[in-house]
Amino acid sequence: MDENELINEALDGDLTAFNSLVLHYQDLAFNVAFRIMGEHSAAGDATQEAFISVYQKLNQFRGGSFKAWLLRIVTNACYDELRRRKRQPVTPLMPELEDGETLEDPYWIADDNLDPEEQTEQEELQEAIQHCINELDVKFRTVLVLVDVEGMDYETASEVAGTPLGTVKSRLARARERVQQCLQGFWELLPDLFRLNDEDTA
Amino acid sequence: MTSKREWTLELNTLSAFLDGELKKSERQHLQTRLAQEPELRERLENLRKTKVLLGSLPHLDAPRNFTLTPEMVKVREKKQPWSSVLQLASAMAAVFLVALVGLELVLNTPHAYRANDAMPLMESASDVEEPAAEPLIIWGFPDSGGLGGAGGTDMKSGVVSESFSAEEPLVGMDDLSSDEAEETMVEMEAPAEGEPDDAVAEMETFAQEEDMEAEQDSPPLEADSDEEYSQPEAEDPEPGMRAAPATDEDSLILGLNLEESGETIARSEPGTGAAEPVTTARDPNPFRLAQIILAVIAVGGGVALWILRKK
Repeated sequence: MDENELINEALDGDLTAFNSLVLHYQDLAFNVAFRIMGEHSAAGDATQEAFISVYQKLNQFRGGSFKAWLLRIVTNACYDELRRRKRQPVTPLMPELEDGETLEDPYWIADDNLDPEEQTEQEELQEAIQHCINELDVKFRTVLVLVDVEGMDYETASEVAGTPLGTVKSRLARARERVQQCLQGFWELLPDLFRLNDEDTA
Repeated sequence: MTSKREWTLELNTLSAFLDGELKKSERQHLQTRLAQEPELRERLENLRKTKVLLGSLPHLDAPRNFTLTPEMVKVREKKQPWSSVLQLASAMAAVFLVALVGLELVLNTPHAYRANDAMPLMESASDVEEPAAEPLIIWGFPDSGGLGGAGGTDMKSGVVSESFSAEEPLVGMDDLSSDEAEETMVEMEAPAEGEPDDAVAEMETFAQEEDMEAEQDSPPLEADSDEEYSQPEAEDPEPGMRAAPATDEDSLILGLNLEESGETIARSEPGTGAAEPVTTARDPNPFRLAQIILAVIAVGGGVALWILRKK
């Protein structure tokens, strides 16, 4: 069904139509939330809050890109959740192993095609990249995630982030540079092809 | 050596170039520089690697469905009215509070205070016609013969006007010439002839209260009894003017039973000639009560909203 039709039906109170939109966008929304927040349970909470907000604010949608409008609500929900967690720090619940230890992140074991060593290296590299993203200020982080992780153009990123195009451009450049510097601390994890030149990072 | 500003501008340009977001002229200018400057090329290459690394992050599936249930929507909808009611109550209380404070400021001029103070006196005076079982008060100073007989012991009132305070300068007969004194006493003639209603009427205006103050220091009217509050030594300028007889009970001051009254009355020291201040319980200001209630609603509503939102 057409997206606009679903939106109109949802506006008439059809929750099923709205849930069709949720199913279509939930992966994207969760990914954005996860990359901004760096933690699964927090990202899940923010995503759920965002969809509830979207349903309640649907009458405020004035056309244009529904995806950009939805992601803006997702990023705002992330900011709210980050603020809330900053006030009330929580310890994420990790699934426990039989010996009582916890997995650092159960999502990284999803890929069964890699051997354990490769899998571990890949996990560590991804963790390193996420760590460097998390080191950024949340405003810089958002733009970097939208453009470099989710592959959006500047205009859409500007719409989602609610900032002018020029701000997106400068924030993105500085965010890339900082991540680049941060990744030098994980030199041994980077594939040879991606190892950066020393003189540039000095 | 490039400055920090140039370095930042260059970084922005290289970053935008990677994304194909440069204008044609800017792109051509940068391409020319890249061909000539190996350092710039290297910088661009490192940015490209970073971008590729970031893009290599896996796209995760949502850990669960985020579809909404009617309960989820209902729960949220149920929360809204509370929030709205609190907001409305808090805002309305604040508006009324401001209006009430403004109204009080307008009304509480010195004249208004006088009128407010006189009001209970007038109300109680209206009961004079009916003799009640319980003796009520009309206060006068012992030395000066208690209201100069204007109300006498028949006057029933539990309220004493502030205009009787000893701190206010009293216009006494001592300060007046004998003619003036006579004139003053003539004004008091009607109540002295034993008409309590006239005495009540006399108290209806502030000016009349002033007259009564003058009367306190005037030569006292003769009381019919020998009670301690009968008129003291001053001569009666008008023999016909007599205060109504005081009660025989020692515990009464011109008909006031101290034990029965809920008020505190400070007696003047006999012979000092100076009237002591009289303290009476006053009705609570209704404005103040309303203001306190409104302030509590406004502040309480705001705090409750703040707590709800934090949760």
